[in-house]
Amino acid sequence: MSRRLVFVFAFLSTLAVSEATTAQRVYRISTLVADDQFVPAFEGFKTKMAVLGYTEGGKIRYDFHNAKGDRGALKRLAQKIIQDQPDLIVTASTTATVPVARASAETNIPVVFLSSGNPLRFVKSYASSGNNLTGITTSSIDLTAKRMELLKELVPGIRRVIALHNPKGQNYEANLKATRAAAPRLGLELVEVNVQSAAELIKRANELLTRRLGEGVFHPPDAILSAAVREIAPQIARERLASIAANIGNVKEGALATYAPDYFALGQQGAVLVDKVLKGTRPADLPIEQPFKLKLVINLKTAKAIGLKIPKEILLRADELIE
Amino acid sequence: MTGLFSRRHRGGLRQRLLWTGLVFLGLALFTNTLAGFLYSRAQIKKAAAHIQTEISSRVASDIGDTITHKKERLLDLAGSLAVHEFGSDVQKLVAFLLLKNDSAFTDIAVMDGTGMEIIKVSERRVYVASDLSDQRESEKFYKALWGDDYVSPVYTSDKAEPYVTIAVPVRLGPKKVIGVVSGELNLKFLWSIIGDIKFASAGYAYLVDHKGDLIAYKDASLVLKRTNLSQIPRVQEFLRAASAKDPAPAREGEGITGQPVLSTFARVEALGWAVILEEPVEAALAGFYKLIRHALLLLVGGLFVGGLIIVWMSNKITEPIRELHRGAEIIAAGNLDHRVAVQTGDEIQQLAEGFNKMASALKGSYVTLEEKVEQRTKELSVLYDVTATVNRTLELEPVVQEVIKKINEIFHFDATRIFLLNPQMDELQMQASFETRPEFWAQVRSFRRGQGIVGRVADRGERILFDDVRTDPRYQEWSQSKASQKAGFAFLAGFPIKTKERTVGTLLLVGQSPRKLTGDEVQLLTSMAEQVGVAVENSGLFEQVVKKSKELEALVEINKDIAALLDREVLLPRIAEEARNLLKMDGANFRLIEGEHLVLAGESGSENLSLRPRLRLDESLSGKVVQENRAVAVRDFLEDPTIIEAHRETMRKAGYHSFLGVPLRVAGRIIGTINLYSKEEREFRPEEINPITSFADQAAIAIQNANLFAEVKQKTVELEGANREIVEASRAKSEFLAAMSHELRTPLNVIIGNTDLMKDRFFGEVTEKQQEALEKILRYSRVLLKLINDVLALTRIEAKKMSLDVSTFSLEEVVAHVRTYVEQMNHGNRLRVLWDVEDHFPLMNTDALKVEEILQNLIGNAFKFTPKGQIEIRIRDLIRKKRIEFSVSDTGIGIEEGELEKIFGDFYQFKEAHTGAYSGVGLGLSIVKKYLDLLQGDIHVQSQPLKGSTFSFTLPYSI
Repeated sequence: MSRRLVFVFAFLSTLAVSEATTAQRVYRISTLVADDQFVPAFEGFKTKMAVLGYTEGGKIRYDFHNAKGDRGALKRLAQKIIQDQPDLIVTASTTATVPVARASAETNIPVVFLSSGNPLRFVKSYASSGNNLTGITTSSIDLTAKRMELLKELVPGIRRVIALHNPKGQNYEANLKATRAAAPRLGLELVEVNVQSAAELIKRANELLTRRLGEGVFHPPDAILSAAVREIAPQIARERLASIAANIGNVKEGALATYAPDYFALGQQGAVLVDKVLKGTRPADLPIEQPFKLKLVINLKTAKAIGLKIPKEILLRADELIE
Repeated sequence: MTGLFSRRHRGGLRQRLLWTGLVFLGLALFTNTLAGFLYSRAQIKKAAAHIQTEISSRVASDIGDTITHKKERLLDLAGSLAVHEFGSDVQKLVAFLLLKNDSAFTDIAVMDGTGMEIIKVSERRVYVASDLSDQRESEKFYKALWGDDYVSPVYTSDKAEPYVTIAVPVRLGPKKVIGVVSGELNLKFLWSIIGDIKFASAGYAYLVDHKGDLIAYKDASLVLKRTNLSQIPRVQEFLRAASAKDPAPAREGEGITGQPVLSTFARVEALGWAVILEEPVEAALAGFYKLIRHALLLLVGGLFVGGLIIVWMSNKITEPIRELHRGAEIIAAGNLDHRVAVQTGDEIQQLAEGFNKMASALKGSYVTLEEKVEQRTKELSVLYDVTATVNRTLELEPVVQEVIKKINEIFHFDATRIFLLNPQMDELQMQASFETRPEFWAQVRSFRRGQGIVGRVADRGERILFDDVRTDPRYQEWSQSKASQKAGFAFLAGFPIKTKERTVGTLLLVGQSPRKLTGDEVQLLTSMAEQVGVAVENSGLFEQVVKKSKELEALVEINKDIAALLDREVLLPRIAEEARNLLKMDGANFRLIEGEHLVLAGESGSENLSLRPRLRLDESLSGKVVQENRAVAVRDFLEDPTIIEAHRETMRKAGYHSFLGVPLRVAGRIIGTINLYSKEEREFRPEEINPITSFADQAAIAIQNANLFAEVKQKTVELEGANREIVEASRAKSEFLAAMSHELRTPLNVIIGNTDLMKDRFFGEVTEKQQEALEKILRYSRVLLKLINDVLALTRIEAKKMSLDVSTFSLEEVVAHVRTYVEQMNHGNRLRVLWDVEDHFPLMNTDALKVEEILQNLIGNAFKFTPKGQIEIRIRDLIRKKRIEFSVSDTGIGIEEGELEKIFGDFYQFKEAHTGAYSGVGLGLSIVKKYLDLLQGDIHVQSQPLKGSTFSFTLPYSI
């Protein structure tokens, strides 16, 4: 009798107090950036991830990889990351994303790119990637005309512009097309200069970046060539050329100005996408997002160095002035 | 233990109390919890719905305010633009500054009063002069120009982000509109507003436009996909009544994620949008589920505590009852001195006291009951003894003595008497008695039926009880002698003794003192009387069975005797004698039917009647028996009017009175009558007629058998004579045939010998024609010799003069001879001959010549009946059977199936043989068969007409 009672009570108690307990999972995220200039995107990403509850060393672990502008290193690192079988891969820049997209094509490892000037290189459309990738576009190609307009506004009398191109770069064709479309509308003549690496650009800067060729320099959204901005800035200044960069970091390194999104903010925006993927959403179900904010950044030091007086109207519109 | 306390009831009172308590407690707690659940759920839902309604109203208001604020920003811009020259750099700068300061605006266009775009700036696009266009036809222009603020429907950019266009007039003074400024507003900023809305534990919001398209949601991807939500019930509800103002009350339904949600919506006035709030039902009711768990814990705890209390209470309540139960069990076990000690002061104590009183009362009555039981047991024992005696014996005397003895043992009457009815005397005679005063009863030993008390009881078949004859008026009336009263007896009782059918006696009981018999005593005495009745019946039946058995035994003996008699001379007188003895008659005879007469065939004791030896079938009593085919009985010739006078006179002179005639029948046919005569007048009962009828049937069969036997005897004598003649004739025939064959063979051999010599030119040259003639003579002579040899062989076999010449030989020798024979037969190789003979055979010990002859006969037949084709001779050793199998197959004319049985008969010939084509005398196969019989062989034939035959025979290695 009493045994039966004990059984009944035990059963009811089990029913009443049963609580599901789940072991906490630690996610492993591998990241790949093409160059130091994209590190802020990763910093912004980590910051937001922590806000979302993914504390490093707790719920999440990061394996950080930086190709330091080396195209070959990018490919190798992409292969290594895939072999490591992480739970998710985070990239920054089209240059870093393309090898990862290729290497992960046969896997189910989700890839979130924090920035890409030309995401249509590896996704089907903005609405849906149709594969294991999703992320945020920097709109760099879209903003080509806008940046060229900026150059024209900064140097109203400018006629010839040295347009740098990297034929081996991931955005080469799109950028070529965009610059060639924008320049005539603004009454500019392009002097197209092809270089295939940062080293080549640095090496040939004295030859290629001269006032003889043009009055301004237009940097492409190319991670390889962007890495050389700091080194070529003195040459540009010497030649009193107005240079428009494709990202804010380059302006800080000596370029005159840019109109681009902030990588740190892009990283934060990308963290939200990663959170969704880790919670089970397929990357193909997450549309490619636009940056929330574009910034007009002007390096006044460079302006001063090249003897350029920034119009008051531009200064009023600037989001950030580097002095 | 038996009865109430022996059975273990399921659970018992304590358990029932416990379970009942637990069930009621459980029900109460469960009902209470359930009611609590339902109420709480309703309240929680109500509260959640209330919160949702408030939040949705506020958010809708906020969004409306936000859009209004954006409109105001544009109005501020319009104000700034109004003070500068249209198309000036300042105007452009002011427009750029708005783009910078409010990132929601991505494009600004300034139109002059004609609708021409003067300035166009964008966050992402570059506009040059050629991009400026005439907008006077556009809705945004003319609506704003007329002083109305314009907000476009939501549309999507090339990157799928939602936009609206807002346009406001550029006024110079309160009434003068000099142009219009429009801005493209990226509604993405609403995503954070909507996405940040969180309420309760998991509530969220989203914003849809007038078509149900998603404008803002925490999951931007859904917005970018331009998701249409018009299939969601809540959105449908909004779209159906888009103009209503009040927020919709919260309701359950499917949400944006497809899961059940509690949702509400509030319209964003002037924009035609709706803010929809959802909270997963599971989350909304999370508190409720927590409550359920707590309530269940409480329920379990309550049940546990309640259970313990109920256990304690049930123990408390049931302990006295169990004490009562233990006491009752002890009392029930027979311990009537036990007393239940319960001091509860309530009804249970009263019950215990009741038990104690009951135990005392039981003890008191138990003693009386034991005495009664003892008395009753004694009575039943007595009855059992009597019944056992009745069952043990078929004699009456032991039973009545036992009854008297037992009645005396129990009742101690002064006299116990048993009177039984004597059917012959038709009076009741005393069969047995016990009496204390024999001298008084010596005179009273029989009563007529109906006489006195004894006769009355037997006559009426009802018992009579006189407790005291002195005072009982019935006694005075019914008793004629008043003998009992006079002798000083007071008690008198008479019980009828009955068989199944009638009353056969009286059990009389007498006592000096008055006595009142109890019901049980009356029942016992009635049973005793019944047992005497049973004994009387058994005894009568037994006597009848013994008598019947003796009669049957005698009849069987007689029947056996006469059945064994086959000699009519002995049988016929014996039948008359036995018939007379069977019924102890004075005379008997019997007559047999011969033609139209009944002929006297035997008599015993009736010779003095000088009966006529022959009677017609239609006269006398014997004729009547035949004609009516039944027994005819006459009780008294002298008084029977049907008897003719002459016959009656004859009987009278011989002194006979009674007659019984029965028919003699064989297989239903009457062959005569048996007639019996008695000098004493007799009534013939069926039990007397049946045995004599049975005897008559047996006697008729015996007479029939005797007749047949006589006939067979005669026939046998005749056949013996005929047989002797046949044997003699057969012997003479065989001898003749043997002699004739021998005589024929001798000259024939001479003919053959000389012809052979002539053919071989022993006597000189012969011409070719002579040679041919000689060969014909030789061939036909040999055929003739063969025929004669066959006849001689057959004759010798039949005369049993054929002897076997048994020797040990090798079968190969026989085969060699047969091969030679075959070669002779197959001159000109007319047929193909196949030999299938095994290489080695064991030595045989039999008659080699006969084996050879058998083979030659079969092979000769094969050659004879096979016009073309082949003959196959096969010889095999059947090792297991220790026999040799020979077979001769041909492809000849074959034998009809119906003929196969006849071919081994003497002189059998095929139909074709008569035509001359296959001539012979038909002895070959007959001799083969007879030889094989002598050699312990057997033969089989398989044949199909026109296809051929196979003769197979086997012989043992040794005979």
